[in-house]
Amino acid sequence: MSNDFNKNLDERQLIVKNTIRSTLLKDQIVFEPSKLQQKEILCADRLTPLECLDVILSQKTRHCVQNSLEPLDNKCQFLNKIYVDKLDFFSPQFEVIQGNACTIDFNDTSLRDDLIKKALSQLGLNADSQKLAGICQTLEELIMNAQVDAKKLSKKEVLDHSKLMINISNQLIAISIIDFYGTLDCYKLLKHIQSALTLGFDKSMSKNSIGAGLGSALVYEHCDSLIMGSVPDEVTRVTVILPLAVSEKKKQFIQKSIHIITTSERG
Amino acid sequence: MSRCQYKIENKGEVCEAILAGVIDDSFPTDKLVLPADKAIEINLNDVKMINSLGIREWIKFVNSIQSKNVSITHCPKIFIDQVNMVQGFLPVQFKIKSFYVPYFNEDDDLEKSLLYVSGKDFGDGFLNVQSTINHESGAVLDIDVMEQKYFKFLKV
Repeated sequence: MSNDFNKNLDERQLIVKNTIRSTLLKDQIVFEPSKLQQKEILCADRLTPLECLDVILSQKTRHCVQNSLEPLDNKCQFLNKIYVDKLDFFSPQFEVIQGNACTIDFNDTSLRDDLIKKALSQLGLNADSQKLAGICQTLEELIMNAQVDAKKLSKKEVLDHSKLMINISNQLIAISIIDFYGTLDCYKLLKHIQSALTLGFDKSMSKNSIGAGLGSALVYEHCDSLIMGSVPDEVTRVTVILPLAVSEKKKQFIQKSIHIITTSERG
Repeated sequence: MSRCQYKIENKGEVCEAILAGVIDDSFPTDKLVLPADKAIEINLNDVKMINSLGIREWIKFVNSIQSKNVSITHCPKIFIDQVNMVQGFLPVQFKIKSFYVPYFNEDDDLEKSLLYVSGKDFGDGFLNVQSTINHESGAVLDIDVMEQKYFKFLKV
């Protein structure tokens, strides 16, 4: 079947050459998983969702990018932006994709149904649309993580409101949640997703813990790119880029990307 | 307050449970007690979402049902996705009597769902898939699922 998403080595190298501005950043990019070693960025192709996770987890790599519905050029531009200052990513003004946007503050008692409807209607989207079911499920899980899981892990009591930000552009929607608990362990969360994908969703469901990892696995299932970062005890941001108004037949060709933004050293 | 509304209607030998809204950790498993000596029909037509905690609650709920004759009707796509993905989401003896199949036209951003009914569109050893349907506007909508993946639960 035809697939516009795949890029061969030469094409990927050319995109990196044309878009990545810093020589130091270019030096961190490799094109084959076997060449990762101490490098931070893998610019790959034809990695399955599970392989993409494995690369990040086994090498403690920060970025695994592939051309997809969100083009590789955009992903390289994102790398340029966070290379200047990683902390920019935690600002509500930092937009991963350009387009119509809305921002809504919420706290742990905000009603998720209301939040989701309000956010989507501000963007002219109908929350009852069957095509948006996966997007609504993603919103639900991400808001719930901030309201329940992050709070449970935090020692903080009084906090600023969390923020829900959505940007939409041609066939893409970026959903971001910023909370001020700063409790997310990105690699641990990816391990939960990996476990759900390898063992099956049912077996990954811990009967005792709240999070169980299932929600994160559902989010990963729907996404094109998963971007997350945390500054311990200060702030966490999770951004998920998903297809919008795209047929399921096209979605099957999506090549996932993962970015981890931390302020600590690797490993 | 539960985000899942429910109504139980007794119709002779059949007890119908009609669910609507969101299935999450507030799902009223304890209140939804269904008779063991009747056929049970669970209508999911107005269920809009199931979140990760709802998946666990749903499994608890279906395992608490004592009746030997349970069928599910009007299953939305989001429900069928979980049936295909999460083992044990639907006990093997439960029957799906009808479920929705989404259709979509990407160029015009038009969507519609078609109800597939047991005995007519699918059944023991058969499945009649309609690859396209017509929208009220006249546009042609293509089936919007990966067929092998979506119809996996039918095992045909």
